[in-house]
Amino acid sequence: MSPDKKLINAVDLSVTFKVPSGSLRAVDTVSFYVNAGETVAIVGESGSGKTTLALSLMRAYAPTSGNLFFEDEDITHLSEKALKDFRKKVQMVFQDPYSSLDPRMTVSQVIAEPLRAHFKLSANERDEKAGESLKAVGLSPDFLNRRASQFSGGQRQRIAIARALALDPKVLVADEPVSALDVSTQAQIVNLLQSIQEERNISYILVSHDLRLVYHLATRVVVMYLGKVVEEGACDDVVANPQHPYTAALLSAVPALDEASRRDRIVLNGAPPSPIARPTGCSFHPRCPIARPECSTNTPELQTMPNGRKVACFYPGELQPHISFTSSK
Amino acid sequence: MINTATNAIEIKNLVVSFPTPAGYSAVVRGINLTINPGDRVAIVGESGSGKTMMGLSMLGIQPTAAKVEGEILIGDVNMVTAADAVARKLRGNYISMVFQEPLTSLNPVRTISSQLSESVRRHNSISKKEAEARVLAVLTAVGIPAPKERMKSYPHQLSGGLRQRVMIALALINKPQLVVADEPTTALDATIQAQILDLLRSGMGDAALMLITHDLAVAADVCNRIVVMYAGNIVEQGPVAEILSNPKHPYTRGLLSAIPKFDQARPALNPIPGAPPTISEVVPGCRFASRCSYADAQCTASEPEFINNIACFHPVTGAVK
Amino acid sequence: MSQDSKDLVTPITRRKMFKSKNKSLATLRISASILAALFIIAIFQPFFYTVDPAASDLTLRLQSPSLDGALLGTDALGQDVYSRVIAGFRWSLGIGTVGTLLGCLIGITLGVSAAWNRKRLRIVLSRVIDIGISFPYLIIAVTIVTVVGRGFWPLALTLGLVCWPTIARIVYAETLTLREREYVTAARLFGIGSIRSIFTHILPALRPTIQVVAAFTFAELLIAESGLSFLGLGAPLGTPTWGNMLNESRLYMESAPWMMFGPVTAIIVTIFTANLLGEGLNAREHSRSTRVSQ
Repeated sequence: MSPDKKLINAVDLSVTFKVPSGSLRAVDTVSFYVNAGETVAIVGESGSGKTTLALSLMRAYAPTSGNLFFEDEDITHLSEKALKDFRKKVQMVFQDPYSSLDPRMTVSQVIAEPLRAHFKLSANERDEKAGESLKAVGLSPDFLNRRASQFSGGQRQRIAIARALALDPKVLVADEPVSALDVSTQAQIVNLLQSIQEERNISYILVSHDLRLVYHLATRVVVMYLGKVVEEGACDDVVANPQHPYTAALLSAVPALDEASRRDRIVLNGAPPSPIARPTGCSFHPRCPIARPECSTNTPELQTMPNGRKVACFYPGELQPHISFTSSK
Repeated sequence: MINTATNAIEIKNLVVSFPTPAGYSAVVRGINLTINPGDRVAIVGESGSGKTMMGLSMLGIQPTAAKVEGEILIGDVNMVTAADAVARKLRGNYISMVFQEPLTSLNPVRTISSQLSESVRRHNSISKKEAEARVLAVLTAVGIPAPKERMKSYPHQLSGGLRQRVMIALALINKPQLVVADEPTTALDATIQAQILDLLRSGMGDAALMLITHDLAVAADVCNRIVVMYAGNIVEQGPVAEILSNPKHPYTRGLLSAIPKFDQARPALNPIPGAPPTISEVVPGCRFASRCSYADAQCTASEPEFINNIACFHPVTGAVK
Repeated sequence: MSQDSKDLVTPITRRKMFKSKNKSLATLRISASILAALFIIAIFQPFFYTVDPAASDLTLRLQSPSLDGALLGTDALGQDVYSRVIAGFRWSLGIGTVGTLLGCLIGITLGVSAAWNRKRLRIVLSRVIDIGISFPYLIIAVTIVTVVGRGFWPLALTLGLVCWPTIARIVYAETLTLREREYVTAARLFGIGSIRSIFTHILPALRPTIQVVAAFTFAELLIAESGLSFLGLGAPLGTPTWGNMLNESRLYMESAPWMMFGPVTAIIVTIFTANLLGEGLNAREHSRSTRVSQ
């Protein structure tokens, strides 16, 4: 497979939900792609549409407009039946390992569930495959006949990962995969995700609000605010040199171990507005520390810069956070 | 009246235990801690470390099944043995609490103003008008924009960040000596977390802060002293700079190296292997030994005492890479 | 942490939990055993007869209960009341069972389909359930039976056809919350079809609720059946059912009051046991769910 082959490719995707007071555009003309073997992080706060975007990339929602391609095939309007092959190749790990596993099922049943959707398996084959997946995530196959509810959060998340790996997918969507776990367990799962990617060359779509984690795992970052992409680029580049003031503020908001980052922190006012009552002009202007009058009337388009970075701001790069980089080299 | 002349809150040999089929099991196992006026102390630990149970018993609001022993001295009152009426008087007035999820801790059918002024008037004999003036002052102090209008709001009409500010206002309104904050920013978004951390660091007035968190970075961000707990014990404590630059306990070092950092080399993270002991598990010796790479025969034979701010037979020196 | 603060709001001591759990388990066990015994009587009824319940001996009419004669006395036709009460078990439990099963089948199908569907079908089906609930079912049953005629199957099926709305409503509400569970979304994203998802995730999770509802429905149908028989709309005249027997005893309330003791006791015991079973199942489910949430 060529390294730059787009596996999932969304073009001007929009997802609108009906709400009592009208319609809510959770994802607003977003273009997004993921290449083979890379990790793309979708970053934003609650209400930014990051989870909705991730789910619509999996065709959990039918897009209201735009197109979605998987390996160059248009799957925007495919029926659930026709999506079967796509479902096999794109799998998901959820945030909460307590609600994402059916408490009535044994570990073997949980892991084999996706397998049974696509293949006819005998009980022995099922246990064998589930055992393999379990070993791949560092758990003993002895656990197969226990119920998922008997395990700790970290172990459950491993089981959820084993389930997602059972079909040997090409893309794994991970929605805040470690944020429900303890710090020491988080590191175990992060390392596991990394080693799985090295072994299997899976692409990850990582949804997260934790920029330290994103920096650690991602090759590319997409920053969302109120359903729109406000910045996109290579992870190193975005973190070292954020162009959009919102990205700068997010980076600056990361709880820091050093004094300097804390002192120079960019603290935004207020909270993100509701996507139903979107501000005029640039959605970010009511909270933006560098907003000018024109920001409230004109909407900045997502512009591509010479180095491939994309940013939707009239004053890119003006606001810079203080981040203390370390280098263990 | 309660004498709070010493102005420090002292915890002496605090044990909190729960009944299990095999008898009482301790989740807090003999803790000693002094919190001085103006201190900002972080209690850092994983879930199951006993940090929350310690916080709750300091206010005397632990679950009814819990058995609390030892002393929690607020002035000359021992919270552990104090009569309900005395404890109630202390709560809110001398010691108060901020919870993780503000929506479930605020009364949904009463306005912000009525909840806050009720709290003022319960502890002070002042008029409704005076109470409302004080509510307005404290809402302004915790950085709530347009506080006059917000006073008439109900909790669900506020965003998560504003609700947490209201909770902090509620905790501060009677000018307590100590505010216990249990994971106050975990449920909040990144940019909102930054706002609340700012408030906790510099907006608490004269009140001391005890911040309960699992995140060392949050602790470092807000506090000047860090207390690390593991499986019911304090394993290390010290000033923030000291703990971050020269952590001595292997568990503290483990926690530090498990956090992803802005490290351009992106080295693999160093997780702490295994999981903490469960509440009913009997562990001989040091409770961290089974997960510790420095552990030897001594560690599994006897439990290290907490001396010179650390409970470890083999303290390590130097910064964590 | 949030769990700890939850404990604050509803403090439950472990001992209390054990106690209430044991009590509800005892209720469950006792009621289930009694009901099982009643079913055994219904199935193997010939073994419990003292005489043939249909045999009438006009010389022995309206005899009062005695230990060496008719245990519960005899009726106006000289039939043995005890044996007729035993014979009534088959009729009553049979109608209750068939009716409940049919009601559950319709109710679960409609409830799950209404909740699972996101589009028009859901609106239509939930309206159907609403309409079903607002109809007085006993009156519909009376109408159907009057038109179709009496007998075991007409009555059993009629009751089944009118008792589903409550079941459907409860199943509908529960399925709505179950459908939003993350593991159900996960299943869909693995490529698992709706039918399969319903059978692997929804129905097993509904089972405890359905058991409770079924037990209460069963009790309700027993009352309805006795009522209809009493009104002369249930069993053909002369069939030994509790309702019929009560109806017959009405005329002899003063001269032969024992005629009604048998059927009344049977009705009360059966309905009480079925209700108790429902309570027990409910309590067990409740203690389970609180245990899971901790």
